Amino acid sequence: MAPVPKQRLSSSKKSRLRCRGRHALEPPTPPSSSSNSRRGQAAPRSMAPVPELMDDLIGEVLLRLPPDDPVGLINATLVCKRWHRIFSDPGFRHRFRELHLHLFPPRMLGGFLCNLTWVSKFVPTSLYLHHAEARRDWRALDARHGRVLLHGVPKDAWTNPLDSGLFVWDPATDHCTEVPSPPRKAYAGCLRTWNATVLCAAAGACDGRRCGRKPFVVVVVGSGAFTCKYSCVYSSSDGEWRNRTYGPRPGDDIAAQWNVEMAMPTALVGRSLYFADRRNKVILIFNLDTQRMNMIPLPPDCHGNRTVLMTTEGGGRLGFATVLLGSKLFLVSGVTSPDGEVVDWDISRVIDLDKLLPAGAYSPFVIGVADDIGVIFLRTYDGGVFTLDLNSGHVKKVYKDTSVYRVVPCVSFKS
Amino acid sequence: MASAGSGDEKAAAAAMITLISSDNEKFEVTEATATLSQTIRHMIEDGCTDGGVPLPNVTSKILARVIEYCKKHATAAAGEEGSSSSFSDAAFLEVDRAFLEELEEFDDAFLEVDRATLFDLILAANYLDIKGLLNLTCQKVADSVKGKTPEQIREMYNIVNDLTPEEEAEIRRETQWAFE
Repeated sequence: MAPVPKQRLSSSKKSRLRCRGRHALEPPTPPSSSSNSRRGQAAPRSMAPVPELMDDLIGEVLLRLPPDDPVGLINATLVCKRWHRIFSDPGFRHRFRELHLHLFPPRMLGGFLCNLTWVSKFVPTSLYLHHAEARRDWRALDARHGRVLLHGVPKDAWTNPLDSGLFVWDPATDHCTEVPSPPRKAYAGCLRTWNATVLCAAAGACDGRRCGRKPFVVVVVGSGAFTCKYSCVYSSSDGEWRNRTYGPRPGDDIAAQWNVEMAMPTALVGRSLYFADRRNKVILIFNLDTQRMNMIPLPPDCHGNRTVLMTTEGGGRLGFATVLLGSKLFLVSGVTSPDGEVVDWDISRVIDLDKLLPAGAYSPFVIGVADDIGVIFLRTYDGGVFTLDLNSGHVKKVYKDTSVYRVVPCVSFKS
Repeated sequence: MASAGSGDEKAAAAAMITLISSDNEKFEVTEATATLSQTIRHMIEDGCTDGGVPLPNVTSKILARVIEYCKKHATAAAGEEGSSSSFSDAAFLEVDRAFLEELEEFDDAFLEVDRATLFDLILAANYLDIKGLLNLTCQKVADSVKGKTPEQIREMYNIVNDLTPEEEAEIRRETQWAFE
């Protein structure tokens, strides 16, 4: 440990890691003038002034603060404008992450995108994604294996939403890939409801490692005018959209149109992608191999608008999370027939949120799920956003805003 | 080990370089010691070290400390190369471990300096591009900041808080997640 310095630094006015900026008594001194600054200082010879470090070197020091102590790091940003500026520099944040990458667990919640009324705000929950910033005028649709699907906010209500652009963003590297708009004829003009998600092209045979560099697929499912239903699949390998439309089927016993809702969580089990259709109280199933659509009903006692799809048992089963009876979180898993169809539902866990949430956090509902790491996002009546770690039972308040309606978690997928 | 190559290495290691501090003091060091500095390594490669290497940014006091560090770590580097290429049995690994411990002790003792010297060493390590020394000295400062409140850090390094209360509140709001 460091020995106690022999002299008090404060006794020499110039002996300091100087903050440039508005100093009442101290004009900024050029770095080369350290010898000048000694002149006129009646400091004894033994009190050698501490030389000033350049920004780069302050950065070198700050880079070496322990990454597992975010509070310590934030305390350092609160020291002065200069330190804060060095910290806020995206280059610094990238370097910090690179330097300490090996210390972060392979799977962790790096942060999340909060969907506010129109746009998304990125909120970091660890230093792993401390450097990330959400794009302006974009909102998050879904995320998987470290990739986030973003959608441009339409300029007005009459713009076809899919014309406003789709982007796949990797918050860890800040790399953004533009996805071209799907051909208009694919969804026969007008869109009524739609949702989209991103996944690895090798979905089902992929463990999430190093996915950022591998080909991805974007799937859009929606309903247009005149009972037209469609799916569009974009593959980054060839840059092509593949479309399919589905007419009303004879014997459809639910409303003829799908009512998928933008940015509602999707679930991927094997090669099947699940979208919630809360108005019709069904789950739409899109088979990635056959590009066929199917559907299964949600249990009748399940309140449609508070049901969030997820996977359970390490991604092997379809499930959902919902809050019923005021504050009871139900985690439900699908029971599958031998051919893989969900034929029934099992309640796998019931968690009494009243005991976990702080007093006064009323009416919780599920607004996001990070099923890879077993974290549920809950929102309460007053706008508080909480994470619930299903493994530890630990609840943490991570944000507060009454306009949050959906959270897209960003989970790190380190190699 | 007794190959012709290692004989050449020894000859190269014995080559001497003169370093001249800002106050004109001359230091004779082996090339192996001097080349821990990337800056000097490049000068040697470019063949511009005849007549000594002037280091106008480094005082003799600091240069002496830097050379002390480089000497120790140059031996360490040579030792590591030898062991990795020629020996792998347990006895030598044991020797390696003992040597690394000795090196750590050396580093700890080396850092027992006042703050002004420490900062001068950081500046010299940066100027001379000595990665190990830069890492060591910056880590030392980082360790001194660890676990301190902003106020304690300011006091320790005599820094004036020029953040407005609004800016401070904004930073705290943005980083709320860490404190919950």
